[in-house]
Amino acid sequence: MDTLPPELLEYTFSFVHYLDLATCERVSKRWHSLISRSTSIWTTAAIRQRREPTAISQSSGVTSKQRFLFWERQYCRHGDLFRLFLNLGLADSTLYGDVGMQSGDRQSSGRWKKSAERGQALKWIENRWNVDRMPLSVRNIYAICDIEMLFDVLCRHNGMTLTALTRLLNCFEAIPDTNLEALAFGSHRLEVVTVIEPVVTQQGNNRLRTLETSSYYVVFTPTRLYSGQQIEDPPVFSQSGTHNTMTLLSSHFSDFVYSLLSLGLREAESGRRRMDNAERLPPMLVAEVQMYTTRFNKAMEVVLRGGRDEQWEQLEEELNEEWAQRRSGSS
Amino acid sequence: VDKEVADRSVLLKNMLEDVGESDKPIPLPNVTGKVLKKVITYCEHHRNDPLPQPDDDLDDTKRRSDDIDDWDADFIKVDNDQLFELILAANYMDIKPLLDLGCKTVANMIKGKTPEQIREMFNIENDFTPEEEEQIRKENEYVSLPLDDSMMLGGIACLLYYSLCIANQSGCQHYHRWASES
Repeated sequence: MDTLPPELLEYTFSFVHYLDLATCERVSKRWHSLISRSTSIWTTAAIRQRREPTAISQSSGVTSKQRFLFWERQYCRHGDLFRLFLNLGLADSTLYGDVGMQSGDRQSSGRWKKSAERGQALKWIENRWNVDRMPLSVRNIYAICDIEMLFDVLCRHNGMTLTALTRLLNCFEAIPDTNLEALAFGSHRLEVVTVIEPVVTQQGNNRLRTLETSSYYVVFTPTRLYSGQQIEDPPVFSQSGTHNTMTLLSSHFSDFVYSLLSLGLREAESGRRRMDNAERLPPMLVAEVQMYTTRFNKAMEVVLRGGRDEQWEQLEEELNEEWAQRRSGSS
Repeated sequence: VDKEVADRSVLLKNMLEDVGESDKPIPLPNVTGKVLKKVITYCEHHRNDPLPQPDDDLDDTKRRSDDIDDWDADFIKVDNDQLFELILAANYMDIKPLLDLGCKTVANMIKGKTPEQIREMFNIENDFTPEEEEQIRKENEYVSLPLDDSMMLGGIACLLYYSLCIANQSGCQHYHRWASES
């Protein structure tokens, strides 16, 4: 079998059921490397598993094992909850594929059409946001909803965000092992980070981490968003290793995400339906987003330069320092 | 070999189109005589099949391994070495149906096996350390998650949403709509 060149081996694996793929990964290092890094194998597995091409599978472009695992997990375990959130208007049928709604429904009904329900749901989330008491699956979904809301915000702030999004896209595309989901917004096709999962950190705090790649965990700290509290801990940077790139990027991205989410929520709270450009945003929020964007861009530059270890270390140092200053400044 | 049979191979078809009608032999340096004979048998049997279209590759829903017909299943009953030689030959000669048949056969051989059984079957060395094996096993833990959990989660979802309705004194029309849709 090992006489087959990688492309043929990969093609062979594309016929293997995903449960058996998981077994194949444990056969040898060569097989593991080939399977876990393959886009086409997991794309095929995802499509075949669903039996019909969904909006997600059609929008492939950046697909990975993580993506597949994410979907598989959600489809298998959280289908009912997803359907619930779909009906609340919190979720997006494109995001959730064929769980209860067709992808075309979103386009015809509009994302904010159920604004009253959505407003209620948001209030409910805000009032009851207590990570510790939530079932894991519910926390998971909130995080996913956050992402959905983020992109609604992004869409409505075209002037500011499209540039940032382009940068994000460029950045993520430069990383092979990335956790992205595709969403389409009008003429813009975006790649969205969604692979997240709750995890209890060593300090006992509940956090959400990116699913599957156990070597890194950082990311989303939604309490700040909903309660207006400061994040208690600085972003976690993983130990140096193969996942450094993604870790650093994730932490920056999450900051960036939550700044933008804050904008969206505050805007929704104040009842404004639309903001045409960044200049109309409150100056403090603009500054906040600019800061995160700057930080993100820094990380991106390192990524695009190839992300050598010493550069990462230097950047981590800078960012941790900046974070400490920010915390001391705000306290 | 008939042109109709040779045309099953895109490589040969293109070569024939390039050189035109000729009695000169076409070299196939990467294929042994034994394997070539087997390939020809396959092509002769499938000489009247529709040729695969370029768009076929885009349809990933066709990537299934349980649609092998009886003749093909019998044809591909060969030892592992010959199977892989056939796959290589099909790839080299660009005979997609034969390539798919070979790959599907391998996929079927893998189905339901443990890593140890697969290694033994294909004579592959286990080059993982125990720690690496454990790490990979953890990575793929999700595959053994009981699906029954979804039912439990569905129940949680109902309770959550019902609570939401009551808390907001908004009636339960959403719940009923959701329940009826689901």
